[in-house]
Amino acid sequence: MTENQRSIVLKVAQASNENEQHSDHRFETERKITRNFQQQLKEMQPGIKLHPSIYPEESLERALKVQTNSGLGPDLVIADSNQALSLLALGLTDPIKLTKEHQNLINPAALERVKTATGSLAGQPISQYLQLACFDKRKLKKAPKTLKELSEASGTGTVFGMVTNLQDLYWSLGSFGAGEALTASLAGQKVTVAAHERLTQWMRWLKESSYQQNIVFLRNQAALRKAFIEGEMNWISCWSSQLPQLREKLKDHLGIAPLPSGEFGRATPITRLQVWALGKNSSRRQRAESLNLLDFMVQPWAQKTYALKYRTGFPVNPAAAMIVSKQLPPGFSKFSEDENKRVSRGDAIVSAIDAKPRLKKDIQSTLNELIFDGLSPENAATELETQMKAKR
Amino acid sequence: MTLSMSYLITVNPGAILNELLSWLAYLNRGTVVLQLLLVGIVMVAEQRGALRRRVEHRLVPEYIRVLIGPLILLISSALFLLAGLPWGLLRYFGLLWLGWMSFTPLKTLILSINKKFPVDELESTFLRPIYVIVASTSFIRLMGSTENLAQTPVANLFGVELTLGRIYLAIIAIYVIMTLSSRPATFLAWLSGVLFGVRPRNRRGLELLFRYSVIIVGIIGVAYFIGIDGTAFIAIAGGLSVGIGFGVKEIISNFISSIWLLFEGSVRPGEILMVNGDPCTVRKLGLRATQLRRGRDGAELLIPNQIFFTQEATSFTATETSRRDSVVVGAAYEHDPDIIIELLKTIAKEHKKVLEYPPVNAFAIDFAESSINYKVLFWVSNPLDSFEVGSDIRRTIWKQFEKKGITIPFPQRQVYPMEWPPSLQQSHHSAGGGGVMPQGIQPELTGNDEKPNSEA
Repeated sequence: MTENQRSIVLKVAQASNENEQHSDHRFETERKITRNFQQQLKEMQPGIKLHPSIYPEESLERALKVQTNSGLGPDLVIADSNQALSLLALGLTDPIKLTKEHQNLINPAALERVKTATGSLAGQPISQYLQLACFDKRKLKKAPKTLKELSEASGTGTVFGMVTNLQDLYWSLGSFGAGEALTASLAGQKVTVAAHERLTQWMRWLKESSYQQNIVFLRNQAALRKAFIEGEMNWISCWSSQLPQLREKLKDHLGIAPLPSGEFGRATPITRLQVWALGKNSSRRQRAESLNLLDFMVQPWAQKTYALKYRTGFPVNPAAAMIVSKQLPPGFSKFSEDENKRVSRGDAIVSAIDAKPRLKKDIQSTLNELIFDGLSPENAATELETQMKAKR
Repeated sequence: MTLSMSYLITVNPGAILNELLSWLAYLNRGTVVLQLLLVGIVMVAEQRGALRRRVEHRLVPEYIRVLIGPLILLISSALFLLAGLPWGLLRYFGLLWLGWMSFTPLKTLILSINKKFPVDELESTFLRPIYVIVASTSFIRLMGSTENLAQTPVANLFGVELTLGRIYLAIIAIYVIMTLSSRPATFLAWLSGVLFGVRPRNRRGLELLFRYSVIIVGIIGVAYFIGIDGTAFIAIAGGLSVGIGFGVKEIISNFISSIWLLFEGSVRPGEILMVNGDPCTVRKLGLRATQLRRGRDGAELLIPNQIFFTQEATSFTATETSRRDSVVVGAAYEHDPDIIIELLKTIAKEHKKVLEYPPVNAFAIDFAESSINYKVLFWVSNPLDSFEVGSDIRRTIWKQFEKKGITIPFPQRQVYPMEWPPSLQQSHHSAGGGGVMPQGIQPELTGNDEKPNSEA
């Protein structure tokens, strides 16, 4: 048998990271990366031929349902941890069984995020995406390290851009220590006066920022990136998964930094895990090769190589993380296992909100009213706590 | 202007081929093969008539019996679902088949409600295309990401990357524009009729003009949609100008002629033109040729538009539609011409298709050998009627003359059989006294059986 005959095609369904963007070039950058990855993998795993299809995040579940019902479902599904869990719950993927040895290769905090209530794993974490600050080196020599510096820089004509949804603004909660109030509200507990005050302070900062001429709030990340690429903004909050697009456009002028801290503490950026889950319809051989590939993907070599090559995510393998952290851009290098634990609270809050569309909508409208309309920070803080307690 | 072919268009089917090949991976899965096998078996059984034979012919009409195959697939998909096996492919093919087969019962149903409903047109222009679109998109959704596949680049036209999705949408859009352009055009023509008092005859020309405009605007819109911009249009125009010079000169010439003729209004649908002496009705002014129907024998003539543009044509409908025709008749010398003329006028006037104005007229036109010839001239509103009206008038003239004792003389010739040599009596009689037929010249033979007496 020749090598070609032995090679097997694995169908991969991938949820897009460029979700908020509804344009003709929606998946262009992702397609390029995927194609490149296919080539790279071919060299290392000649027996496996990946055939990826990129889906908009919002339609992944529906598409997988139709395909899985027909027996045409993918062999592998690439999604974030929340989506991987919900796909497993819907019966669209199979849980994955990892040996103890295999589990040791993966950061325990990351594994925890794909674990269901019964303890089974919805997928295998491969990489994690971080929230960062992206800036144009031509306009800004150094990214602001604190919110105070940010405010000062905006006074000197640098334009800062942020998105008005909680997931994208969550990093700034850490700077005020306001996360506690939200965690308590979400758990249905009483919010302490101090925690409530810190949440109100965060709201105040948001309101004040919205009054500033050079701090601009947009409704989605795509609009923010577009404005940044076109030079209308000099600093934006961004996601590591979206860096390739920015790198392509800004080349060497793109600067990456950690998000600014506040007086209370450091920023708490959200992370998104890239999780690979097993499709339901694979044949025996397809399943075996999929598991083979999953094993390969968490080995230190693959983790290190792909993290350094694409520079979009942080390895989930702690050994690989150690190796690459020095070679990755500043925003990444600060990220460590400790950091992982620190930010996991934010991830939990955001994923809980994501799972409740109505709550998400209510929170969004409160933030919009605060930033664009006349809602006072005090009222907004109370409203947010009430909404989270009601958990609709 | 020189443009290399590679700049104009490059096709890269690799991506699609790759996608198609990846579909083969599904054949590794037992459940997929099982479903496909079942679909195949049911389809072959249906093809051979094995399913339909089992159902009593008289009880169930044919259009219901053809639904048995698809229903079997749908039922088995339900069974697969119950058994916990993948079932979607069975349902997909079942529904697809059911959809295809339900055209006939649907048409029967519509016809039973309204007999005049254009069901065939509805089926070919609307139902079947919709079916194809739904079937193809749902198939792609089954096999992979529609959005992903739609963005697969397959060709490059004038430097514009054409993705599969854009090509697909462009084909649908062009089809929709081509089929539906007549509706807004009819509406605009109707509107201009209401607003500006355009006559119905002119409206049809106007409608065609509007339709071309809608199609042209639509195609330009589609081109812009797929990303072909101004520069590309200049490239196309450059290419076309060379093409027009050589190859497509006739086509363009015919097309421009058709537009011009529409504007000029001389050859519009409904016009009556004389082509080689025959009145013909213009049926359709096409892009290349005009379709006419010859009144004489109903033949359809397709005449290139530029013929009308460059050569003379006789029209009975260019500015007004009425046509003058005449009937010639002879009456014996013994009748008073005044009476005859008056009678002819009356006969013509009384025909209901003869116009009152311009008035009917009759003239004595010739003192002929055996009769005085008269010509009655009349006008009809529809040129195609003149033939029939002429015949009616001739018939009435004959009847009226018969009634009034007016004879229509006709030259009479008496022919006698001759003998040779002629008897004296016969010779005197036939030669009128002095004439003697020269020897050696045969007399004129008549049509009867008698033979010249050559033996004598």
